[in-house]
Amino acid sequence: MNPSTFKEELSGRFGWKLGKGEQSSDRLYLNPEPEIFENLIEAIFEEHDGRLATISCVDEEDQFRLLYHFALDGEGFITTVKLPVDKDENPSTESITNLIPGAEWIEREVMEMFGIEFRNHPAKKRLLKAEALDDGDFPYRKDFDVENLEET
Amino acid sequence: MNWKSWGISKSPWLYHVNTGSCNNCDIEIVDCLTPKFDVERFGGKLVGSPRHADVLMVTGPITRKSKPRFERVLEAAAKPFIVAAVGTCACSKGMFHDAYNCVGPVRKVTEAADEDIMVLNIPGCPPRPEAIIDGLVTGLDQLKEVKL
Amino acid sequence: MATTIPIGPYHPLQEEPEHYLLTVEEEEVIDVDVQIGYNHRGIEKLSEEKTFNQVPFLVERVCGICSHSHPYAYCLAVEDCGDIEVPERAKYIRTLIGELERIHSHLLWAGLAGHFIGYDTVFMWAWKYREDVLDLLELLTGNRNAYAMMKPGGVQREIKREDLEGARPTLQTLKEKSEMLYNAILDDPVLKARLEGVGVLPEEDARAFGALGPTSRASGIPADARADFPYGMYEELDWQVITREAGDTLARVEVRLLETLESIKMTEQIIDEMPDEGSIDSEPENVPAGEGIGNYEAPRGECFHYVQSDGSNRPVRHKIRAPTFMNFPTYKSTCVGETVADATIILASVDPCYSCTERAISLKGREDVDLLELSEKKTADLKEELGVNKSPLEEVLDE
Repeated sequence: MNPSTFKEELSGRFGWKLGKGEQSSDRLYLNPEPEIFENLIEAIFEEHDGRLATISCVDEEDQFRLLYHFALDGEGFITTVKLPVDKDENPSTESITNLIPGAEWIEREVMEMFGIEFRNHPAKKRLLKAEALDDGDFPYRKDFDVENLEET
Repeated sequence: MNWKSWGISKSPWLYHVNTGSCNNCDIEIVDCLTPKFDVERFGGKLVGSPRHADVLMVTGPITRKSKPRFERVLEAAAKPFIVAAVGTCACSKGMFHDAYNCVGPVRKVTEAADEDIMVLNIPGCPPRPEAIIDGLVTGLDQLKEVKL
Repeated sequence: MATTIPIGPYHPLQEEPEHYLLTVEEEEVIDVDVQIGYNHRGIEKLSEEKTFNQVPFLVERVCGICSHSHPYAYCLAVEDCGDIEVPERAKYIRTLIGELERIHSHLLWAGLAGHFIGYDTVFMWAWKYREDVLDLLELLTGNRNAYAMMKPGGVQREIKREDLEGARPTLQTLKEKSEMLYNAILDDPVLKARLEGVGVLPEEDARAFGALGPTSRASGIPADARADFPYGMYEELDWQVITREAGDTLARVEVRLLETLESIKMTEQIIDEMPDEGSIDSEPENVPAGEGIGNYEAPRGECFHYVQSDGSNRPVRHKIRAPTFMNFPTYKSTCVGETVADATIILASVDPCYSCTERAISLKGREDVDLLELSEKKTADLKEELGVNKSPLEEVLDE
């Protein structure tokens, strides 16, 4: 299987809701409608043995974008599912830890570094962030004020 | 030289504190113990508690999370003791000068805790085991002129 | 009654600060909680302030032991983003350093694993032979660790033919010593008793947690980025992915030691095949707007880097995921239900980038060769008594 046949197979199931995205010989980017997101993740993880490599979060000006990278080891390509998250008071999205246990630490990292809440996450506590930083400090956001940070 | 510094300079017991280093310096410190470098020839020995230590081998640029722990190690260590800042990060923060989570370098933290703590800088990224041994030996030699 | 044992953040068995809370009921571990972040320096944030050519030096300091892996994964990501071609000679040099790094990392781990279960002879041996690799790396790159060889589009420095030829005798010794180490570890009934069947990670759990590298390969998953997502010269080289079905600590030891031998084999092939002439850098002008992913098989598993560019000379976003981040949470599957005494070696068996600095015994007053001979003789005697003739390595090779 290669990225284009893989995409064809998925669009047979999800139709136009799979969205557009770039693809090359070993990379596939998908921009699905949020409503099919969970089913899509489940299909990649369970039916195609996709290994969740990591979740990258990108702070764009008006929104956050979560990138779920799945490596399909046997097929030799990586597919990335993009999910936009609104940048409001409490940005939040659904956790996938209950489906993929390996996502627990990844989601915890995004939670404390970007302040995106993962609903129904089993362990919402700090992993990396120092005690000296406030709960409201999100270091990896672009607008995080590094200059005026107190020393302790 | 008083009897305290004489005591330390003879057989320095080392305690290793990693305050956020990348492992390189730590591995080189462990390397000093293995057959090729064998720091025990000089009486140096790694110990398991700061209470037994004469020299604290500190690596890393001191991250925000490890700073309070490092201060507790400084409190716990038996006085007098020397702090050896191993690696460029520990000496001057080096590459992590602008990192938001690094509050070092080591000298800044030790000075805030106690101005009299002697800090020995061993720069290098990472310093070779020879450099670590040489730095320690040079530093301990200097003790002859310093009162602790 | 359940008791909680706090370990760390500064503990003699750990080289890096980490904080564990082992909840135990008598001898049995019933829960483990981990606090990390003492080493969190904010490299991803810092990376956004550096230019594309400066970042390799920064990510080299993500981990001192994998100091070739992170820059390599980053360069693969940038090259994926900008469709940058890499000259063949540069690929050879990259692969060569990567494999030498794997040898030194696996030997380092073998030594530490020996130390964790109180077998300091293995620690001293493995670290002594590891020095040979470091000398070799110093000969080829100029530094023992942190080689500074990588840049997007190629490598920073040339490697001369005479240096390459000079590496052969060391590789030969290294091969003999690694074989010796393999046999010494797998022949030892005590080590076998301590490691076999301990900390089993079943295949489905390895998949669920997304385990990587030797940890997943010891559980029977043949995933290896070098084979699945070929980069460098791996397609041209003769090597194989080592897997084991058992999933226990012994299997993880075995996989790493056999991988060391594979790496030595690959290094020799690279020395044979590497062209003497040719460019080592394609000197890319700029990185266009876009995004790229790089995944590189580090000694501990796949390093994953994601780079986003907006066409300027700095990455807009650089995400780094180290292998331990995925491997470490497998303790939930492996550690629970085992005894406290085994917890350390199980936690260490994923090679979580932490190690020990403590209680090292030096073999003063004796030539270690004598010791080695004595030990080999003892093993031979034991085998004769048991009626076994082949060494473990010979058995593997026969398969």
